[in-house]
Amino acid sequence: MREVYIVGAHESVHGNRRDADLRKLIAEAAIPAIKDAGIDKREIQAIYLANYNANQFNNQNTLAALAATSLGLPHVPTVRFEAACASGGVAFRQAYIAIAAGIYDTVLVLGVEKMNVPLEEADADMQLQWAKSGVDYRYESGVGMNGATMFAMFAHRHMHEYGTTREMLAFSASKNKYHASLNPYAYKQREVSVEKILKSPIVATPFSTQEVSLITDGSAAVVLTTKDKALGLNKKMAVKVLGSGHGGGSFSVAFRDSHVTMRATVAAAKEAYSMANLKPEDIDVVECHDCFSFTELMNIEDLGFVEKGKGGWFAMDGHTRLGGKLPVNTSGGLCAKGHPIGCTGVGQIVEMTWQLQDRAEKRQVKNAKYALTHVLGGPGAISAVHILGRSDL
Amino acid sequence: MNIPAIKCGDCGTVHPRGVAVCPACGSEKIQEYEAKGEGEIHTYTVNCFVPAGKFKDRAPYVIAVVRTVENMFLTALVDTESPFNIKIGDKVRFRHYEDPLTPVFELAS
Ligand SMILES: [Zn+2]
Repeated sequence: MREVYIVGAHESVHGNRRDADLRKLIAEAAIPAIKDAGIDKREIQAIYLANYNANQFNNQNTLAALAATSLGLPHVPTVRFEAACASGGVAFRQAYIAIAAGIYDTVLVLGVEKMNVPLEEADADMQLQWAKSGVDYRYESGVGMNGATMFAMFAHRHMHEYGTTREMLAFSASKNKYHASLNPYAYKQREVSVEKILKSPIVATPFSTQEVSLITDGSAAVVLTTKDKALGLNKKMAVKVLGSGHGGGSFSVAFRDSHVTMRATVAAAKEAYSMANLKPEDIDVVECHDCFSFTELMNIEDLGFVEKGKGGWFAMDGHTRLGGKLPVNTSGGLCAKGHPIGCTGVGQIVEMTWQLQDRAEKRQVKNAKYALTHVLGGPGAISAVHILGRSDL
Repeated sequence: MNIPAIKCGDCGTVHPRGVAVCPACGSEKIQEYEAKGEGEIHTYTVNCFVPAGKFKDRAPYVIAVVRTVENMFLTALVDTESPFNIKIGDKVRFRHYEDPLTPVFELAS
């Protein structure tokens, strides 16, 4: 296995991007990422694109080929990855494997999703159907299941078993709103108090409108390459991929071994820590899949940062806030930076790359040496975890 | 009311009908079975935000993971006049499939 490095990273401004179609979003992330890498775009040997549902949101399938052509690289081989909300992490891992195995030297990983579409193109009901088609249609769509209701059920079980409270959920959500207020790429760049979060209308108990991931348009891109090439380009700025993990869990909300822990996350984390030869206590900064306020509390337990059941208390103690001992979701996360589904996992890699390069500006974690990213797709069915490190260590 | 189900000949798992192999152990020795409809709420949510579609007029309504007395888990609606009073552990019983994809339970007491 060859060592793999990130040499370029960029993302679009996230939001309801009425000004941007798929092509524009792709260009907004990919072109600056390639420039950041300091390579000629003709050095890109493959494009791995993460996208959840352009075929329904935008009437566009085969988006990876469209991306290549729209970037002026029509002869580059491409493939699109779909793993629901984990798509970006999975695409990144596949590019990592291809370079580590010696198949390619340089790959562009792109994540893009354009979810806000004009209503004359799609009525609200269809828009909701598309957003929730990552659930088991035969067994769980008939009750009106969506992301919020599935994670709401995991949250209630966790509250029942461990005493986690709504205040803990809101506290963690408020922390991420604060982080997003410092991020010029975030959808909602304003602070929201715990009180306001608790008083906002309920989407699905126990989540209010301030505790759910946002329907977002956005894109993110990273350039991955070999050690030789990376260190030849810009030694100080390259970030090393130290560990990669990919875990599986049940695709059923009901039929699974646990409703309070995601086996996919635990397995992906174990694989990544083992490859990196690092432990949870070595990690300085984290981007994890906070699709709902509760999910972050479960994730930090499943990733090994805190004992099962104690995530809420860990957050209430301030440890996950910028300045705390383990800042989590410095970008603002999925409920504040936004959740353009296929883009999200790649966006996490961009944020952590910037942290390790001391380029995160107001969100910078001092002396960050090791960073971890984590995505979760479907009802905890797919997880990808990556551990990144500074190349000068 | 019983629930149309399968039972695994190897591990004994009971699961709503429609699977090709046992979802717990992968065994192909599954047989059609009539599962008991009594159970309890393992977890739940009250779905409040439904801007469109067939559940729009029903919201707020309860979606639950029901655990039956035979340890069968399924996602279902729980029909109640007071959705916000629902809690984990409440006893429920199967009423019917409102359509082929939508099992409905009601409170047992
Ligand atoms: Zn079995």
